[in-house]
Amino acid sequence: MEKELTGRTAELMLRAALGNPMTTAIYEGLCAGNPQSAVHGIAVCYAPTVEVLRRAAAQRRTLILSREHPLFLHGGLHYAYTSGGLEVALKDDPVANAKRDLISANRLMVLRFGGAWDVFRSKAASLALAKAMGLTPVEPLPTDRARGVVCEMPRTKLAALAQIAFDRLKAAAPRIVGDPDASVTRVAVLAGETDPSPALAQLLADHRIDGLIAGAGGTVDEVDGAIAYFRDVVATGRRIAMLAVGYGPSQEPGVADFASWVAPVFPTHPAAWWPTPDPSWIPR
Amino acid sequence: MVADTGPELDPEMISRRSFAMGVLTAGSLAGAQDLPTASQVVARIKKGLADQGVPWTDATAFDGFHLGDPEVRVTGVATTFQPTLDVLQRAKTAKKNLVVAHESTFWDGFDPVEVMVHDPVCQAKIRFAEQNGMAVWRIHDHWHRRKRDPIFFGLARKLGWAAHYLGDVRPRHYEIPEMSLEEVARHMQKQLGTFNVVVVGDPKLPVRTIGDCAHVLSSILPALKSFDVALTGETPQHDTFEYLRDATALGLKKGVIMISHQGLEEWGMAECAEWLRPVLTELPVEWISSREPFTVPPIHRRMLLSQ
Repeated sequence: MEKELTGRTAELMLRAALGNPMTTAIYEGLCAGNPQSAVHGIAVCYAPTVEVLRRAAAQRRTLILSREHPLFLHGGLHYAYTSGGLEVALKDDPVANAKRDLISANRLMVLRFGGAWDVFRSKAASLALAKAMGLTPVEPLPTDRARGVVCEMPRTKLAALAQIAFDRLKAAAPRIVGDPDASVTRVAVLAGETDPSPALAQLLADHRIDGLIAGAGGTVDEVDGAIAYFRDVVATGRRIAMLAVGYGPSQEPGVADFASWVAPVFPTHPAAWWPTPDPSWIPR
Repeated sequence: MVADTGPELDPEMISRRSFAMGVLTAGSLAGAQDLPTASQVVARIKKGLADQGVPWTDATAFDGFHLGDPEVRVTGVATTFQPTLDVLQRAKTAKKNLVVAHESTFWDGFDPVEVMVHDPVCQAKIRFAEQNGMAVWRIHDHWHRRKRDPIFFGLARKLGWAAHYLGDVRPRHYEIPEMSLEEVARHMQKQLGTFNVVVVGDPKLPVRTIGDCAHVLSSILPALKSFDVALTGETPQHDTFEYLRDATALGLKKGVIMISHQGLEEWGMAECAEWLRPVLTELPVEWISSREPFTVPPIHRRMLLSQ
């Protein structure tokens, strides 16, 4: 008789497949549920939302591999500021409690893979975003360790790329920083946040880059103020503009990519990718 | 004759009249040495704050000089939300070489210039200040500490909701005539002059109370607990948007509205210019907008946004 797959074993198998990345990222790995519970099925998603948890319970997919944390704890730069107080604030929070109950009552487990995946394949999320936008990245230099990728294209209006993000990524609230009428030929694509500023500066060091497509970014506090840095780049006279497609929509293609990659890691428990729709909207 | 000038100048003691004379005659008589230095102007601002119940404390890591020479002679003062390079350029054109800013100069709330000091954009900013004799002085915490926080009361006035704002109670909030979440967002778009009002929640949600918050989920939660809607000026989408999505899925009737940090706070720095004029009567003072960073491009909707 085959040994039952538990959450803990699944985590070890995933780590082995990722080459045991020495990630010390906080809020990563098995972060909710009893690791000794049995894995009956696997779902892969960007965010383990209430809807995802309910669906997982209904379909007995007891292991959820997610990019984000079930209790909204992100970690990363300045995590003490952004997430540190959050743990305390969520202790008796009705939403957090309802999610804990859903996980516990249905013997679900949530394994957050985002940081380890980014270490394993630093460009994977951005590459997937570029492809989902219909762009073809240029071959990176062997020394290039940046998260972002660079794509060339016929001159295209940034507003047209916003429409593509809306249509293909289902990004409901794309926004532009810089000249809204700008057109671009060589864009850096960066899934997730533009932050931190030093990494963004490195990505944009190639002055032929005249556009940036990213998920989101802050002017001061959304991790840091990389958008303010970008505005200063523009103020130096450089012709460059940015399209922010939304954090979730920018990560979703990479999550789908991860789901394809992870399927053979668990041949007895096929992993299903469950897209997470963009919850935001802008009145127009 | 220009009185009270020279090395014995005491910015704490100097009369406004004699200070004004020094400035008025600066161009024609004695030149730049008659103008106050940035540090002297700042000393006057600190005294003005202390006189109104906000004593200066060095406990804050934010407030202070972040760019330029504090001993530069001041020709004019510009207040702003964020001292972007664009703001510095416009301040220079307006002949305002002391920029009084609410937020950071070097792209992080904690303003760690050492992280980026070798970056060409960072160098360009430093060089621009040097070449044009400019200084940036940040007033964040102390400006928030005024009895009626000008940042949030400034927003209330900008929204046309000053009469509905309960900014002296905690959590701060608005009590408005009932309207839908979508109507609230449209009202904000109109008042702030931007489409950059991003919403999570049911567009038809009836809204009577709105809490105003800072920029992280932990500070948004108290508002969501007490009010229909939380209004924030930039926040990480991966936590705040997801929390609201889950709250809605659980049947909680709540909404989140995210505007830019500028949209939330820069009106309070316009009020800072108003406040500074009687403190620095002899200097021209002007508010320079940091301007909305985000433009919302037109989208041809093949599916409805309010889906």
